[in-house]
Amino acid sequence: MIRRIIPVLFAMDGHLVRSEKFNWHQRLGNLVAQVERYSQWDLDELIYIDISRSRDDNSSYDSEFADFVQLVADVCRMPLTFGGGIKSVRDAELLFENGADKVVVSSAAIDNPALVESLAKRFGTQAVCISLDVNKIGADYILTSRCSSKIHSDLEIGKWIEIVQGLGCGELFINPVHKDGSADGYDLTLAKIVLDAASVPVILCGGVGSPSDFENALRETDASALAAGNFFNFRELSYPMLKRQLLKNFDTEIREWSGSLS
Amino acid sequence: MTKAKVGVVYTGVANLNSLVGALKQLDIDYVVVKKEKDLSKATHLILPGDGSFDAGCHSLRESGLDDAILRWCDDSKAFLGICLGMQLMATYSAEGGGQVAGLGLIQESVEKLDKEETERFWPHIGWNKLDRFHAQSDPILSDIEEGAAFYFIHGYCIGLCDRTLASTVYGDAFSAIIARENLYGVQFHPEKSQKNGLVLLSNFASKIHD
Repeated sequence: MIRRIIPVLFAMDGHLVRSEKFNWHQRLGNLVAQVERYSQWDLDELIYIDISRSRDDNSSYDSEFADFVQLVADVCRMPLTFGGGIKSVRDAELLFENGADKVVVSSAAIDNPALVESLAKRFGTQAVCISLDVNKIGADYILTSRCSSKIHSDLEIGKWIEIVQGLGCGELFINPVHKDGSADGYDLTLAKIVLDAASVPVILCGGVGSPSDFENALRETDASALAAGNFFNFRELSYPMLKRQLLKNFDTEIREWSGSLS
Repeated sequence: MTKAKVGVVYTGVANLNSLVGALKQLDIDYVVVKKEKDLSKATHLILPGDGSFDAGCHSLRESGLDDAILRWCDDSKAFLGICLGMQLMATYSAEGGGQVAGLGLIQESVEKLDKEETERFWPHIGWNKLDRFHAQSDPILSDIEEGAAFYFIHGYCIGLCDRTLASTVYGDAFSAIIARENLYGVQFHPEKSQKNGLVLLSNFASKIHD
């Protein structure tokens, strides 16, 4: 099976941002201006997380992000996953109506597990991705929510995975807060904990600094997809060059790149 | 030759933006079909679909488009079912208990994708290859080779059968493309499959005629 390589983009108030442990955000450019560029890159998939309203905001999705979703779907011929502060079936519906193939839900799943079941019933298991927001405290991995402001030390990761899979989650996204912004490789120990419990596809994210980080993950785990945020933001030809490198040693597992370099 | 005008069925359970975006990119004329009379100028028909089989069937029955589609296909006009749209062409689906009847355009059923022991994860999400073509040639496969990759996102499938045009392997082999005269179904999403997907959609609009 081909393993996906996925850029993750963080959006805040119409701008692309870089995050570091959810605390510091550097504005990287206008979201809309970037979309054409991404559409040329022959990506396996693209994940957009809107962090404008993740923390304490209980309002519904406004039309601005929905309009943005529509723009991306209009221009990009690739799988699109959207998320960030989804709290209701209606929030997700707005994203699907405008072009999302999958939605990713994090805090709301822990606050309201029944939402996972409602989303899966309405949109299909394969369309519901749950983000495991994890922090490392000492040697322990602890689930968190609301941009790490709430910790759930009594909820064991393996148990939580079993619960959300039972409710109809179709994919898992590992979001290790402690690795966000660092560039020293995926947390493979955490990856293995998750993969041991998972029966749905798993996307690794967080901590990528170099192509060898992707190679280590391909070699040492059976994650279905490898995602990265910052890695793809600062290097112009990062995606095609990464694909070229990975195809050398993992040619049966990586999709060929045939985008344009202009 | 008449220029193609592709009808895209609006089911309420699929996002049309991506498909319409692909047709626009290919400069293919289209019309969104919400009721039968929207079909009057169409030369081709696409049934997209996401979500559950039961919801898809229910939506087509509610709008009366199920009968319109059957009439269209009876006339051997060009038809393409995408993902759930392909599954709706079957007689019934094991998803949701198998209580709801599909369109019955092919006499096959939809079963849960059996990944066997070789694949660890279900549902089937990601890129996979057209492992084998089951016919010498077909106009919809023009410029597409065995081994070409497309994007799949599903947990149920139509197994190998007489109508299989191309198969994909995920644990078990299943139908990636089915064909019956001018009626086609693709389990993957061509509008999400970058260049390969655009080639397939272009082939459908330009090479399949009634």
